[in-house]
Amino acid sequence: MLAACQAGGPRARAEAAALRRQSETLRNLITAVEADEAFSSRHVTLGIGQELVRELLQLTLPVETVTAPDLRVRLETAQVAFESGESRVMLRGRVSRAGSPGTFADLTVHGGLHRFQVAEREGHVTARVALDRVEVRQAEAGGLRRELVDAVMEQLGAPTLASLADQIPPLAIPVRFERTLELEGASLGPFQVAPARLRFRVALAQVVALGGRLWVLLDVEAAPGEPLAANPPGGRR
Amino acid sequence: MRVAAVAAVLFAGGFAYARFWWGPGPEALERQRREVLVLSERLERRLRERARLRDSPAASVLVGVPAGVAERMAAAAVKGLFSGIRLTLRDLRIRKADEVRARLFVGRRTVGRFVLSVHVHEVGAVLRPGTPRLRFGDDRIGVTLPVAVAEGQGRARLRFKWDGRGMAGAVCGDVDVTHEVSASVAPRTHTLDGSLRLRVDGSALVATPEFADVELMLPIEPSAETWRFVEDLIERRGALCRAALRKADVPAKIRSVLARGVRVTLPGRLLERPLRLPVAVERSLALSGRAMRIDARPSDVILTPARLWYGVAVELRREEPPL
Repeated sequence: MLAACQAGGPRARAEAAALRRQSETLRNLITAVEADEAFSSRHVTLGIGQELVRELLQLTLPVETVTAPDLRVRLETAQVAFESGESRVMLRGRVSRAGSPGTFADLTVHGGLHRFQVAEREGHVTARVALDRVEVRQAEAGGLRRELVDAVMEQLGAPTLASLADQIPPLAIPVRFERTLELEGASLGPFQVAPARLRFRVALAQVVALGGRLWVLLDVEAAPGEPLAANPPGGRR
Repeated sequence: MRVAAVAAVLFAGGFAYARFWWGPGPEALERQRREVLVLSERLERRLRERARLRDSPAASVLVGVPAGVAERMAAAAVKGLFSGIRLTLRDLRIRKADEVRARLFVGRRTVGRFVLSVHVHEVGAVLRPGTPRLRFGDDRIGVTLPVAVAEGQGRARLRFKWDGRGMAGAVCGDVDVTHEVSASVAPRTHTLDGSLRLRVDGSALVATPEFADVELMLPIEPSAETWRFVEDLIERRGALCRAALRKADVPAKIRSVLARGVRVTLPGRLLERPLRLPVAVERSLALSGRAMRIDARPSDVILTPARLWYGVAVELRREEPPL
């Protein structure tokens, strides 16, 4: 009972749930690494630094939405952390009364990156931001504080967070994996080399957030060389 | 009894409230945080030991290619580099002159002298790569590649001149015949040794093939029609002459001349076609209607027996609108 008195309420419950998820993710990763299924000898590994992802995410801000009855939410700055198997995104901004901009509260919206995929045409890795929790940090306008905080906690539910997340375009990591490699033709003396093309099959195997990086593991298979034309170009002589 | 039951219910209710609604206490949270820390350290240790995961703080983007994958990609690239190499030889001349001695009725004597000249108008061949053997180390991948010369075909003019001596001369006279024949390049496998030198160029890893010049010996193989021509040539002579020419074993002489083949140098710089690893950092980006320039600087390349790593430092800059 004494422990309960010292406990931290809903915030502690949320943290405990997050820590349980992290432990489970880490255990699964350790098992996968030991079984050569993650970061294995089959995977091409891209390690994207969290600062680069933060800068990319920052470029998509600010985003703004108005939710019933008159709450305006504007998110302006991004923080990103890739640790212990979790990609965490924190977007900071402000919520205010649409009719009374002087009444506002600073807030942080928490979420993560999800829906990773390799874009078929461009070869980029893309991800979407998902937002799942709001934390009000500080409120202004004296007596209106409690009323505004209550309204935020009541009304900034999943639909508003989804609407904000939808306004953030897919985050394109500017690392491209080409699916073809062109080899120029050449000609020298009695030798002519036809131009050739190599093809690669690329599939996303896993994404792991760890040690300040987003590790993107790709399955890559090279197909045999394929000559493009029987006649070589004018090339080198 | 009733008091005890009420106390038990209150205790159970309190416990459930604390455990499931009110949340864990600071000590329980601290235990969970420690557990995450311990598991994170264990994972990082496993990644260092097993996956040879490396980090480079200066690199915003790290690319790690396992040796097995790099080997398959390099093998496909090397085969691509060498596939479809065509060789066309024109205006080749081969000449062989010698005396022929044979045992006739009265001991061993010179029966004649022949001059065999082959003028190859044109002969083509295709070089076919086999499976490369690759060795990883330092900043390069060593390559040993068997290359088979195959599918060569061409036309040649064969001239056979026979100057009979002594009795053979008396019965054979002189022979000077010319014939157009087809010829091919006999299949032969050569081994090429070289390497792919690795460097980061801008935002991409580039492998530049480095091979020394290689001498290829290309034996010319006359077609069956050539042997029929030689056989007819002999058959049309008289019996004594035929005996002398058979002693001279003209086909074997033609074969030995052509089997020595033609020497051709495959220049190493023909293969210096840089291969860009298909992972690269983009040079520009448009996000939310904003055009960004991406400055990518190579940070390092590390080739270990397990994995090839390279890092790229990336800076995003706002693209200035044109004036």
